[in-house]
Amino acid sequence: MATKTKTLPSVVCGTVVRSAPAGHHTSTTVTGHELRVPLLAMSDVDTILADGPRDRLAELPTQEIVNFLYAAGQNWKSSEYVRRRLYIRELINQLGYSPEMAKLEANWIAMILSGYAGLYDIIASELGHRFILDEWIPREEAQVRAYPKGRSLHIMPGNVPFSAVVSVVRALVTKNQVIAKSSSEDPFTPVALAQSFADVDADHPVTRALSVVYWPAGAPGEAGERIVAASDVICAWGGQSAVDWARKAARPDAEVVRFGPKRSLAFVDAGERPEDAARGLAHDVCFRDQRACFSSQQAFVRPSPAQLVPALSEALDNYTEILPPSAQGFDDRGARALTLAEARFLGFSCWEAKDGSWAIIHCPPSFAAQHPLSRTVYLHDWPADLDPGAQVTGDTQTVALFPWAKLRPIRDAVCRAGVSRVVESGMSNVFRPGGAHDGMFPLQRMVRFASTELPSAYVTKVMTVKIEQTKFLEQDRFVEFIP
Amino acid sequence: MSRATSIPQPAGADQPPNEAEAQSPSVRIIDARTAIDELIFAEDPWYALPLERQRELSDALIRQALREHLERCPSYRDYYARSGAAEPGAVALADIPLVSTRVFKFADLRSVEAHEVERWYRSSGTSGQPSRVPRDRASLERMVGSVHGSVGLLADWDEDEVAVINLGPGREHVEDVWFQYVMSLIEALYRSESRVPRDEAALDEIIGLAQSLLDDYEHLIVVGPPFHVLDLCEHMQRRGVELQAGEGATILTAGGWKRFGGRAIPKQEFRAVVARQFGLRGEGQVRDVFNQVELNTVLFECEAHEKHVPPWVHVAARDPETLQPVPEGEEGMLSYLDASCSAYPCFIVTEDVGVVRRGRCACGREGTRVDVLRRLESRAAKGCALKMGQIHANG
Amino acid sequence: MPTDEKAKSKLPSAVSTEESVLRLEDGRQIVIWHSRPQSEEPVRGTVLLAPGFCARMYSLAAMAAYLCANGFAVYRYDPLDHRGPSSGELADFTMTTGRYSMDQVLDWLARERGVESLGVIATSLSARIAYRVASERDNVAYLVTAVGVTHLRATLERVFGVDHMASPPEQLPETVVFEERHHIRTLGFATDAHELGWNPAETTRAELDRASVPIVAFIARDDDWVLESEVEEALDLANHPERRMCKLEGSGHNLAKNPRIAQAMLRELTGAVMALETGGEWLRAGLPPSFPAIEREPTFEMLTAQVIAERRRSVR
Repeated sequence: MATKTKTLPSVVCGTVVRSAPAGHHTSTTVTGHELRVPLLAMSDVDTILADGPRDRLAELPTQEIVNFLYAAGQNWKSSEYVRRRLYIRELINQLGYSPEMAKLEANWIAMILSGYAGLYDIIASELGHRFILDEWIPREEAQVRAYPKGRSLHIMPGNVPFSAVVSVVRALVTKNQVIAKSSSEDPFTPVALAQSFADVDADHPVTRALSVVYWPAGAPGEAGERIVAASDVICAWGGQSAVDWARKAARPDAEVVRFGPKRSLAFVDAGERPEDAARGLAHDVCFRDQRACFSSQQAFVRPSPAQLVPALSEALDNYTEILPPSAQGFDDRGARALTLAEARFLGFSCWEAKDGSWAIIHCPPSFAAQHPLSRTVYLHDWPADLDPGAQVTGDTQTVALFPWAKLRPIRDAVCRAGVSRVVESGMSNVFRPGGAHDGMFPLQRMVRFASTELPSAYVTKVMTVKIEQTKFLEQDRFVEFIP
Repeated sequence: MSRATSIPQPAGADQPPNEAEAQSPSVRIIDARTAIDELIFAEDPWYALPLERQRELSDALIRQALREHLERCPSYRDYYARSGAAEPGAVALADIPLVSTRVFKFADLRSVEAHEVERWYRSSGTSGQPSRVPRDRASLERMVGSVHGSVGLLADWDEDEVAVINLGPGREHVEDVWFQYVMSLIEALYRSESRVPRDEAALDEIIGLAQSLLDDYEHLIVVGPPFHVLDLCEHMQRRGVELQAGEGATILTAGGWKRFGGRAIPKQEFRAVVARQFGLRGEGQVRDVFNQVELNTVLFECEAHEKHVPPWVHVAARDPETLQPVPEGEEGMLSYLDASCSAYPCFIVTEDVGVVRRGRCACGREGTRVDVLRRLESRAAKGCALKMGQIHANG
Repeated sequence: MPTDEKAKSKLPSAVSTEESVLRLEDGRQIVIWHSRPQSEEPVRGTVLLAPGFCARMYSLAAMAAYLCANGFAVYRYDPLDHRGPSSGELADFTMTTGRYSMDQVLDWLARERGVESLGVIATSLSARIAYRVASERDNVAYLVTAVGVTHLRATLERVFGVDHMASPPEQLPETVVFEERHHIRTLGFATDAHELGWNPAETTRAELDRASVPIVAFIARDDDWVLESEVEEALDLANHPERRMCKLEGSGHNLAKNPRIAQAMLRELTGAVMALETGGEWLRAGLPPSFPAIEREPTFEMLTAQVIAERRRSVR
């Protein structure tokens, strides 16, 4: 039963809009409160699709964007920053986060925004050069430059605030206007982010480039359809239905960048240091309560799962202390209970925390139950003849290994089979600059590359003479220049 | 005959009840009675029984079914033993170990010999691994009996007076999809026409058929999933057709909105739309029935739009963590103990969330009612983590 | 001479069924269904199924399927002035019309199909007719009845709650309503029943005393319309070792109501027919202690398919 009603604003080109001419969407949060979110209105769309917000950002130097994000990040870093405090409070009260988890989310927002060096590294590693969005960069016999695609629509994930911020930042540093379509599960993060930009400078092109809107999943209405039709890039996060919808709704020439749904798993040799093995696995299981695609859901364990269980139980208990799980709603608890009922029916060993905060199931990998997430880890036997490559598919994002040095050779087998990321166990949530995300370098999908190429006066590497094509044709000498 | 079943002799066929008759070569006593069949196929409807009697019957029939499944289904027997539940005579109904319906997606569960299985039926979901559920002849007959026994909640029709339009594939095309199969069985009860409203032409044909059957029969039943019924109503609206069925039609929905959940409209609104378009006398003529492949009994709505649960089924709403029953009227995960199923232990906990009420219904009948509110939807489904079910759905 | 027409059906059922129409000299017609086993094995025998009052041919679909599955050729018919596709209205039905219909079909079977001897399986009211037919015709080799009426007047009194047969003709209501829906004209029925001796139990007993065919009678122990004692009295089992009563526990007059009981009955009935068909003269000395187990049993799917196919045929 809802006990309080919270009404969120939308953000239209950096301006907080509290009116809702198209009405509100009402839902009940996991903590039982009523949550009202304004539905996207036609008048909002007119403002968003005006040229100004998009073009002003495109003209901004990258460093100015990075500096702006840094300034916002510094605010987020401060425990006194009111926006941060309000945000943490909403995550706790509305979304049921533990105080520790909510604080960690705010810290990660600060980290992403403030990590200017990391942002430059990402631009450089993914696009080829730190200044490529501002300058023509020599590249072999051409000079290249990256231009923003233009307008980016972000179908935000539910319950993974970090991903929402990453999505916005990627678009902004590539100078794309951002329209963040909130998830009904977490409408707070995009709004808080937009408001924190306005706190830095309400009229800054970055602030003005960000809008936060809402329509129910799969039902954009006429207003939403205009946004979709005007979007050059659609970043779709979350469940299969969100991703499928984005693919279907996007303009044929629009870029659809799909994040998730993915799963992740671990290979753990706990023979020598079971406590360390358990600690790494527990971190990857507990971080964001397995709602993120990098969270480990399964682990293949040597010498035997049963031997790891005591240490893993202890490590999971420890995480319950240091990073308590968010409140589990009716449906999450139900999903877990059904999974345990299935496992028990099938005769698998199950262990549960006394307070229900985690569960371990020792089962074969073929156990096809829906994974209930919520800090539930499936442990599988890892016999000597098991082919790690056969345990993953293209849907597997991250494979975590323990111990790192010993198991690193597994990476060839799993990556060949479709995995896009191999990390040390316990590091699943740390995306290093330079690393791939879901098999791609996402910034490349946010830009359009252009090149200016050397004139004929420049010889090529394979020709020592000036390129005079007419003459070559007249003298039929083309073949001479083929290396 | 292309196929033959084994032929066990009827229970009690060789057990005459009195000695004189037993000794007479001219008389043979055939006793095939079972308590469950006597209730399902009783002359008097089960919903006329007082609540206390329904409870007694429920308790006795479910315990009997439990004993039988423990004897015949090794996997359930093992599960029961592992669960530490008390022996069947002593266990509380609430404590009977439940099988998650998702088990049927990957385990073959049966309490009868393989050759006694008439068919394995599957759920109709378009994504993910379908459930596979066996049914023997007795289970199928009892399922039909559950329809026969509950149809009185709708009205008392003579088979000659009624024609049915089934908005789904006909008998020849249903194969093993349970929902379609059950719908197609209506033809064994009433004169039926099956049409899938797949396009405008089909919808036009259905409207014409409805008009003609309304003229020829005292009563028309249109049965189908709500999205098809809505399709039909919207099409009628586009064509400017408003039937004048009055009291002469019942629109029966079944099967939920499934992948058309985005089109779902509130029940009352739905009933109003349908009643208007068919020209019904009242919204009471728009009813819903509930069943799922793992449940053997079909639950019918009364005129107060409450789904009544017959006494051979024990329904409970359960706490999502402990799976213990929640107080009456509170939301919980729905579980069913269905004694009508002999083919597999139909002691199931489902992914449906609902409310159970007992006592006198607004329709005046006593009994248990269930309101199926929604499917369980994990918040995780909206995150970017892939759930296992999706893994299998993807291949 | 009556003529017949034949139309092959394409029923997607477990058995192969064809429909014939027997045209009578007065222009009326009787519709007959012939169901045969689909196996290539020789037919074990031929039986004629007579539906109960107000019942249609397809109400006997399961019985036909069981018999066909076990090697029998099965004929069914809809009597004149009955509910099915044959000529006439149910309201005008009389016992003699029923008798005439059965006779016509038996004659047609002998004439057109060469069936000189066959078993008759009759249900409820048609059993009363079959008892008389079996006592008067030579080509009925054996008789099986199910909830067969032996004391018509008593049964009718139980059905309608009033002994209309005791009323003088002028006091009879014009119609009575059977099963809350079917109006039956009383005068013709009652006059026929009185004049041709259908009413009393004694005439049934007398007819059965004359009959020499083996009889197996299924009764339902909870039957409110046909009492066990009446059937026992009519069959005189003590003096007729070639007769047997099979008593179905837990069933009322509607044997199809509870499918468990119906299944047990159909197994026993089919076994009985198998024994009776092969028995020959020695059956007159006594029926075997138990009937053979049936060899094949139609599945639920087969039965449903057949019911639906036959329903479609009836509606057509």
